[in-house]
This record gives sequence, structure tokens and C-alpha cells, in this order.
Amino acid sequence: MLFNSTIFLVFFAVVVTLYYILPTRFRWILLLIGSYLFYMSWEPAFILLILSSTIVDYFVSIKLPETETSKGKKRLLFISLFFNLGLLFIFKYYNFFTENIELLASSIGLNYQASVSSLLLPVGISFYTFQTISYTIDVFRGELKPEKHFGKFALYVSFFPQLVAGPIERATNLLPQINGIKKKVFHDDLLAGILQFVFGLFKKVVIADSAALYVNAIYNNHQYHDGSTFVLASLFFTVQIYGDFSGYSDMAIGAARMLGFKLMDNFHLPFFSKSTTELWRRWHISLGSWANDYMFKSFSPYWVRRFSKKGVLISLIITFTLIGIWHGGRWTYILFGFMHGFILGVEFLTKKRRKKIKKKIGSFLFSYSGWFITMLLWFISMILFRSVSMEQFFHIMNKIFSASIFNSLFIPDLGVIATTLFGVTILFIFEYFVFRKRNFLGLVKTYSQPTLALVTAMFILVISIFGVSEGSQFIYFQF
Amino acid sequence: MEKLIKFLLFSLVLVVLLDFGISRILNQIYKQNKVGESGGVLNYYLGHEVPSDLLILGSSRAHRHVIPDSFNCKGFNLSHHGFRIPFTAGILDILQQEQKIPKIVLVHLELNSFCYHIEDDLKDSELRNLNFFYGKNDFITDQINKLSYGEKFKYLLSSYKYNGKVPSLISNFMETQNFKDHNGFKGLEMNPADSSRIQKQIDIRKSLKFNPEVSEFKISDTGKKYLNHVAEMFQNSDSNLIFFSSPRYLENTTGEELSRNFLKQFLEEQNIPYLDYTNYKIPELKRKKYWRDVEHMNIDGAKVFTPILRNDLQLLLDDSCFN
Repeated sequence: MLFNSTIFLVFFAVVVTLYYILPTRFRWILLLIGSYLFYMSWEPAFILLILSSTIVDYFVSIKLPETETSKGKKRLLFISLFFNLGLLFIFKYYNFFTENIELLASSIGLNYQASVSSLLLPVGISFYTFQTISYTIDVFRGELKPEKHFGKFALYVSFFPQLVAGPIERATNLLPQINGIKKKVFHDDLLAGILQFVFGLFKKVVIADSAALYVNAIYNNHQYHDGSTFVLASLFFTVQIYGDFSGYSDMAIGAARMLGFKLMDNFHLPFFSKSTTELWRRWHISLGSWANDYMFKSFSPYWVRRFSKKGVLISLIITFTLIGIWHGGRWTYILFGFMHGFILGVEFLTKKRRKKIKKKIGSFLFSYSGWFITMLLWFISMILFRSVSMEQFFHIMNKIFSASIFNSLFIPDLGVIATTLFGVTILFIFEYFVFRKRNFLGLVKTYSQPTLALVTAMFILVISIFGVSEGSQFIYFQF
Repeated sequence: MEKLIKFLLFSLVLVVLLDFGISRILNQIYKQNKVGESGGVLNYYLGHEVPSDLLILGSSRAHRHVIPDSFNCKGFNLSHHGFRIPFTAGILDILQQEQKIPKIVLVHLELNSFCYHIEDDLKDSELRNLNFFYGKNDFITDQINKLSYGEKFKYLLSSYKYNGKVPSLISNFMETQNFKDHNGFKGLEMNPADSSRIQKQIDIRKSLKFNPEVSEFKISDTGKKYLNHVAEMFQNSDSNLIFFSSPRYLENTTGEELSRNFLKQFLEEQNIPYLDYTNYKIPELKRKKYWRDVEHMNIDGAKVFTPILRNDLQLLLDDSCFN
């Protein structure tokens, strides 16, 4: 049940209506049933995974405060981590792991053949696994009291607007909202939710899905194309992934807001960033902050003690390489993470030097050159991210940095290019002139109701006329 | 809640009004278009009071390979790039409804429409490209409704009939201003880069090492369904339906043998003639100079192929078109 499908709209309309009809004390039950039905629409059997993860973390977290010894607490945490990461390994990394073991074995002359797992990847497993892990770690650290109500904890793990592709919510934000479901309907929240949902849908079906038509045509037949075509296709992929993932996040946040829940922001104008460090504070914010709190802060004290400032570089490389692995078992993802960890580390180490340069050349030139370098590096990392293998990545880079960059562009359908550019122009206008200053709630408070209705109606028509009707899966569902 | 209901109602009224206005404008543009594949060329054909004697339908290969003027009658090439049997079936249904089916219809079949490897089955969603006829043609409406649960809801907005077509509608509208009468055929001129392009394509195909067994392929139920629909349309008709598959410079995969056998058997049962030129049946066309790429002939190739097709058609049908 994709957010951009008619069936979801029907499902959501039913849930919202029932939600506001039901007495407050029963609303969590409706949301839990709705969330489980939503997840089961992909593959009913996978609900057992969420359920088992919920049961394990519920009991571990209940037991944690009762356990007095540090050893005992660590043992309980280990059980939770082993179970959750074990599921992730079996479903997501097993084949990658065995393939590489086979390769390694053959390189030293051994003949080792592991069985191939034919298990399907459960939708959103990386998201809800990280959500439950963060909950257990918070309880372990004593930063959070365990939730005693099993049903409400189950809803925290499976809350359908953010279940399959985030934002990865913290228990400290979501659980109090589940426990304090309000009776009153806040008009501004509902309106802001509708606007954000429609805007997200626009990003997904007009920008991301249009761009995807060109990107897939080129990347799926990469052997046939030249450097100039790869540059355009990779630029389009950069636009596609932003439209796809931030569009999904907008729809998730908007849907939750219509139910009275405030989820954390996941994107905040990332393409206005003037450094990669800034970009990661604006791109997939919930994953970045998760990695900071549960990975970087765990590794960095050790490495900083050993290597001083260079320890930060090492910690960043480890953290971001793990972020790369989080995306899936593929060397290109791992290198993507490594590359970003390295860039962030270098930016950290050169902070003072860059300040001096800023003084020398002036903040205007410094800002724009910073923006250019950030976008260039992001663009290269997107080629890595989209390539299905290292071989494909090197092939594309080789084409881009060869004479074939001057060959003519391959554009099978100008309409697709025009539609994408049209969508990007609208997006840029809204991001630059509107969302730099205020969010959706601010928009509702600033503009009159007829103006907002007109904007909503116009977006609905743009979606109807320019949106790609054969809605594709959201890219981040695979993670 | 009252404020929200007001907002929703106001938005709804605006959507209806804007949808009405925009779809009227797009409809006017659409109707005037006489060129282009987002309805223009079909409009142009439907606009003829007297239909052609011979109609060619199919994909880009039919479009580039068959010259209507090479026949001894009024011919028209209504082939569309990238579309296969579902789209052709849709076009024929529109023509039947408008009573514009000529006495001879040549339908080009792509062998890969009738067999597929693992999961790459033919998609009947290509009929969405005829969505202007949603609600006007029963067959197209039915097939589009079957595509997904929500299709009916999408068409509540009239502007959805132009979904994905606006850029091409506008560019075709501009092109229509300098419009000249045509027969639908547009040959590919010979280009010095053709030879190296063909060689590159051959090298890449070889390097892909995709060599599955015939048993890994399946006959496409989607392909079969639309082929059946086309065959049924001509069962009690005065028009003659002939299928053909044009040659390629480099043949495709093993699975197509399955398609060949299926088509041969199916069309024999239906008593519909089928001319299959794939698998290097025309020795002269093995020369690189006749090709733009491994799938499409240039205009010189089309000049070699069309007379051969005409001669074979003459043996099948005693019609002045082929004399």
C-alpha cells in the first residue's frame, strides 16, 4: 500500500474518520490495527517479524530497570541487539556476506559455495529495527523509562505513517504523544498535514517518478551511453532521490500530523547547504541524528583518546561506513558511506584553515564555492549510490572523465525531461521563497484559507496532469 | 472542524473549476494536433474523410521499415514508437468504432511481445497512452479500468486524460502550424556514425553473456490476449488483416523461437496470414549499410524491404495495391 496509491488514500480517509469519531481512549487501538493492516498489505507473514521484535524489546526494556548489575543489563541489551541485528543480517546482508566469502575463498584457491537465501526483504525492516534499538538503548542508558503498556509500545514500533521509510522516531518524542492522544482537533495541524501530504505527493509523482523514467533508461542500459548522458542522468538521479525520499517523508509527516502527531523533520532544504557537514544536518536528519547518538558518540571517545583530533575523522569514517551498510549489502553503499565519513572528517580537521580562507576571499565567494564543492561531491556520491556494482560505477566515471563527455546527449523522450524540469522549478520556487522562512504550520498561520485552498487545488491538478501514473515504489522502501 | 470542512469544500470547488478550464484548453490543443505520437498522427488519420486503402500499424520498426508510397494504393503508416500489441489493439478498436478501418491492415508484431524471460512480461499499461479515449471507447476504458483498483477515481478529473502528455501536446501544436500532408512514414537518413554504433551494439550484446535456455521463457498471456482481440475484430470483417515481423540486423534471444512457434500455430488456427522476416530471411539486408542500428533500418533499407513485402503480399492477396 504505497502512499501514492488510491488504495492508501481510501485506507487513510477511513482511518482518519474513525480516529476522530472514536473516544480518545480507544484511538491507539485503531491506530495499531491500522498499522498492522498497512504493513500486512505488503506481505502478511512479515507482521510476525515486527511482532517478535516488539515482544523482545518490550520484555528486555521492562527487565532492564529491574536488573541491578551492569553485567546483567549488558546481557539484556545484547539479547535485544542480537535479535534485531540478527533479523537484519538474515534478511538483508546474508547473500552479500556469503557472496564475498565465496569470492575471498576463490581468490586463495579454495572452493567454497554457500547456499543462496531466497528470502524477500521485508519492507522498512531497517527503519523499525533502528527505532526499537534506539528505544532499548535509551532505557539501558537510563534516559527513558520503559513503556509498560504493551499495546502502546507496539504502536510506537509500528505507527504506520513512518513505519516503512521513517522518519526514524525516538521513543522520547513519539511515546508521550501516543500516551497523550488529545481529544481536540487542531485545525491548523490538520490543514498543515493536508498541505504537506499534497506537497510530498507532488515531489514523488511529478519530480521523482518523472526523473526516474530517464535515470532508469540510462542506468539500466549503461553499456550503451556516453559521458554527457551520464552527467544528465546522474543529475536527474540526484533530483529523483530527493523528490522520492523527501516526498515520502513529507507524506509521512503530513499523514501523522492529520492524526495529531508531530514527527521529526527528515529533510530541510539540503541543496542549500554550503558544506557536506551542513548537508548531513539537512538530509535524512532522523538517520543522521540516530547515527550521531548511538554510533558516533559511542566510538568517538575511544578514538579521540588514542588519536586526538584525527580520532574524530576515524569515528566519522566508521559511523558513515555503517550508515552506508545500513542502506544494504552492496559495495557501492559502503563506499558511499566511507566517502561521506571521510569528507566530514576532512571538513572537521580543516575548520580553522577554512575560516582563514573565508576571511581572505570574503564570505560571498566562500559560500558559493562551498556550495559548489558540496554539490559536486554529493553528485559523485549519487553516482556511487545509484550504481548497482563497483564495475558499473567505474564504467560511468570512466565515461564522464573521457572524451565521450563531448558526445551528443541521449534523450529518448523530451517530454520526460521537460516535466522533471517543470517540477524542479516549482520545487525551487517554493523552497527558496517559502520554506526557507517558514514550515507548513507557519504557512497555515500566515496565509488565508482561500489562498491555501487555491495552492492545494493547483498542486492536485499539477499531480493529475504531470504526475507519473504508474506509481513506482519509493526508493527507501528497499532499505 | 467546521473550518476544515469549509477549506476542503473550497479546495474541491477550485479543483473542479480549474480542472474544467484546463481540460477544455488541453482538449482544444489536442484536437488541433496533426503530428506527433501523443495523438496527433491518429487525429490526422481519423480526420480523413476517405480512409486509406492500406494501413500499417506497429512499433518504431514498422514505422521506419514500411514505405506506404511503395504500394499501388493510398497507404498510411500509423505506427507508434515503443508500443506493441496492446497499443495496436487499442488503435484498431478506435478505428473500428470510427469506421475508419481500411480494406487492408498490416500489423507488425514484435516477437518479444509474446514471450518473456522471468519477470519481464509485456505490460498492458501502454494502453494508458490512449487515455484520451477513456470513456469514449469501451475496450480502452475496460482495459484501463483493469490496470489498477484506483484507475476509475483518477479519471474523475478530466485533465487526467492528458496525464504525461502536456509537453508533447504543446510541441506538436507548434509543429502542426507548419504542417504538411503526410503518409505517416518517416525514414531514417543514413549517417556516418551508424556503422560504429552498430558495431558497439553488437560488442555490448556479446559482452552481456545473456544466454538463457528456451525453457526459461514463457508465452505472454498479455500478448496473447491482445492478439486475440485483434484477430476477433477481423473475423466477420470485409477488411484483410495480415501480420508481419520485419527483419533485424542482429537477432534477439533464444526465447523468440517460442514466440515464432506460438504465432505460427495461433495464426494458422485463426486463418490469418503471417509474414515473418526475422532470423535473417532476407540475405540482402545483412549488409550494414542498410541499418541505423541493430533493430532499425535506414531509408535505404526500407527501400529494399518494402518491395519484398509488397511482392509477398501479392502472393497472399489478389489486390491492386500490390500489383
